Amino acid sequence: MGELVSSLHTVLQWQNIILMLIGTTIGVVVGVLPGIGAVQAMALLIPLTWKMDVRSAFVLLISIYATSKFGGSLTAILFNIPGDNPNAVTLIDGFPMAKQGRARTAIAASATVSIMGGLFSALTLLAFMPLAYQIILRFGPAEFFMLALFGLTAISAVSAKSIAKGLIGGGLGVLVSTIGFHSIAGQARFTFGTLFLQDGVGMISGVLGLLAMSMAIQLWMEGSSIVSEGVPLTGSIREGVTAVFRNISLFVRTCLISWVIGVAPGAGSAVAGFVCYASAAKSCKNPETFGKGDIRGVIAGDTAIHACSGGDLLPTVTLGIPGSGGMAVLLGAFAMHGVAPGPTIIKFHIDVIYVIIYTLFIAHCASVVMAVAISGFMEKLTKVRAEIIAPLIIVLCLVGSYLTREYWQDIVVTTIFGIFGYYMRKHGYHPVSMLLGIILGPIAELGFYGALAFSDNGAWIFFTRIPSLIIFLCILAVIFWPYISRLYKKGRGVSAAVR
Amino acid sequence: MEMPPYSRETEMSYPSDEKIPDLDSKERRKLIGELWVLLPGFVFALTLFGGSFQMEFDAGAVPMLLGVGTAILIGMRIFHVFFPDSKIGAFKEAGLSGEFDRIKDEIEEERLKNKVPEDQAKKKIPFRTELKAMVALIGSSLAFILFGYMVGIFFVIVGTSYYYGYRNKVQILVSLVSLYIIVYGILYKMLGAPADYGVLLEPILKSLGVVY
Repeated sequence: MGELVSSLHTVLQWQNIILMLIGTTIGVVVGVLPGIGAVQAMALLIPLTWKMDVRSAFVLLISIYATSKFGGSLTAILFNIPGDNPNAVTLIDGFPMAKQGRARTAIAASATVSIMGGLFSALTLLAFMPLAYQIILRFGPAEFFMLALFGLTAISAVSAKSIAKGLIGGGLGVLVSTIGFHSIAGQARFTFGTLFLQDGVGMISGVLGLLAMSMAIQLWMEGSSIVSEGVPLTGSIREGVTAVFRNISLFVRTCLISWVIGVAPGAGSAVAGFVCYASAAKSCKNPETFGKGDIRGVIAGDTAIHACSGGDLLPTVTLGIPGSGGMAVLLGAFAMHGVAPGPTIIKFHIDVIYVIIYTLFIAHCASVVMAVAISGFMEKLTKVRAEIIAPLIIVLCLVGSYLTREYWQDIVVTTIFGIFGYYMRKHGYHPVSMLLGIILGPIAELGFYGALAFSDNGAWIFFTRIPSLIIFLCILAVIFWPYISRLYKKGRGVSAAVR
Repeated sequence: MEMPPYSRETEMSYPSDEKIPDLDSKERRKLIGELWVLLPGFVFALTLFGGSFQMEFDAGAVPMLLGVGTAILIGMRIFHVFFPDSKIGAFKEAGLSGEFDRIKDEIEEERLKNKVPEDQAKKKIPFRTELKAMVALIGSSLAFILFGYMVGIFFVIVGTSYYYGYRNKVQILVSLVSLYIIVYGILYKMLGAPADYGVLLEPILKSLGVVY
C-alpha cells in the first residue's frame, strides 16, 4: 500500500509530469504522422533515457505507448488515414461518420473510450499482478525455458504470414543472441577475437535496426507524404460521450475480449481491434449499419486498441514474455536499466510497476487534452514529407545505437539489422519475430541449462513438471493450429453434409 | 462449371492429391526477391552451426541445434525458390495470423466493396529506388562512423535531403536545429553523453589540438 502511494507521489513530481507531457506530445504526434507509430518512437527514445532514473524513463516510454493510438484515431476519423496499424479499424466507421458531418461525435466517443479503456488497462494490470506473481513463484528454470519457447512460437504464428517464416525469424534471432561470452560454460562464442562481440550483439541495436530503421528505409522508398483532404469538424460532443454509456455492455464485452487477446503473446492491439470489431458487428442489433458510419464500430474498435494495453503489459512485466512489438521494445528498456522482468521485478521494483500503471491511466487522459490542443496542426502533420521524417529517424537510430555502449561497431550492427529488417518486412518475415529471438534466446538458454542442472532424469524434467508440460502443450497447439483448425472445419463440413 | 468462391482457406492449403498451380512471372520474381533474406540467413545459420563444433558441449549445444534447424528451414525455402512447383518449402500454413488476416480482410472487403481508393493501392518499389535508399542509409552510417554523431548529424540531414532532391531550406534547418537541441543540448551537455568525432575526424582534431 505504501509503495502504491509513494509511486503516485513519484509520478506527480514536476520532472515526471514534464516527461509525461513530452511523452504524450510525442505519442500524439507520432500517432498522427503516417508511417511511424509508438513502437518506432519508443525504440528511438530508449537510448535517450539511459541516464534517467528508471521510473522517469518508464513515465516517458509508457506515455508514448499509451497516447499514440488516440492520435492515430483522430487522423483516421478526420483524414481517412490510420496513424498507426491498430487505427485502421477506427476509420471503418469513423471516416464515414465524419463525412456525414458527425466528426466531433466520433472523436468524442473515441476520446471517452480511450480514457475508460486506459482506466480498464491500469486496473486489470493492478488486479492481476498478485495472481501472476503467485503463479510465477511456482515456476522454475524448466517453465521459464518453456515460456520463452512459447513466446517465440506464439509470436512466430501471429506476426508472420506463415508459421515457418516466423520460426525462421525467431531462429535467426536466437542464433544472434548466442554471440558473446557464455557465462555457464565460461567460453566466448563467435566473437572472432573482438572485444566488441564479447558482450554480445546489443539488444538496443536490434530494437533500433529491426523496428525503427527498417521502417525509415521503407518511408524513404515510398517517399512524399500521404496527402488527403480533411472533413469539417462538426457534430455533437455530447452525443459521442453518451453513445458510449448507452452501449456500455458493448464496451465491457470489448474490454474483456481485447484483454484476453492482449495477454496472448504476439497479438497486439491491431489484432484486438479487428477481432472486437468483427465480434461487435456479429452480436449487435442492425449489423448492416457497420461500416457506414455506425458509432458502435468506433466504440468497439477504439475500446479494443486502448483496453488491450493492460493485457499486453501483464506477461511482459511478470514473465518477461512480450505480447507485441511495443512490449519487445519495453523489454529492451528494462534490460538497459538493469531491471529484470519476472518475480524479481515484483519483489524488488514494484514501484516501477505502479509507476507504469499510473502513467498508463494519466497519459490516456492527457492524450485527449493534447490531441485537442494540436488538432489545428493535425492536417499539417499528416502532410510532413517522408524525406524529412526518414533522415530524422535514421539520425536518432544511429545516435542511440552509439550511445548505448559507445562502440562505433554498434552503428554497423544497427545498419545491418535495418537493411535485413527491411527485406524481412518486404517478404513477409516480420522482424518482430527476430527481435523476440534476440530477447528470449538468453532466457531460454539459461532456463534450459538451469533445468538440466537441477534434473535427476535429464531432459524429462521439461515434461514431468505439470506447469512446464502445460506450456509445452500450448506450444504444440500454436504450431499445429492450422492443421487442427482444418480438421475441425472438415469435420463440421462432413457433419453438415450428413445432416 | 462454376468456380468455388474464393477464400483464404483455399489459397492457403493444398490437399495432397492436388498439384500446386504454376506461378506467374510476377510471383517468381517475388520468390527470387526472398533470397535477400534467405541467403544471408542461411550463411549465418550454417556458420554458427559449423562454429559450434569448436566449442565445449555446454556452449555449443544451442547454436548447434538451432543452427541446423534454422538452416534446414531456410534451405527448404531456398529449394522452393529455385523449384517453385515443388511443395517443399512452400510454407503456406498461415497459422493464427491467417485467422486474424481473414477477419481483417473480410471487414476491409465489406468496407471497400468495389471502391478501392487509388492512393491506398500499394506502390510498387523499383530496384533503383531500393538501391538509392540503401546507398543513403550506408552513407549515413559511414558519416557517423567517420565523423562521429555530432558532425554526422549535419551530413545525414543535409546530405540525404539533397540526395533525394528535397531542397526546402527552412524545413532542413528546422530539422537540424531541433536535432542539435536534442543531441548537443540535452544529450551531450545536460546528460553528459561522451564526445565522439568518429574514427577519421577525431585523430585529425587531436593532432590540431582542438580536442584532447
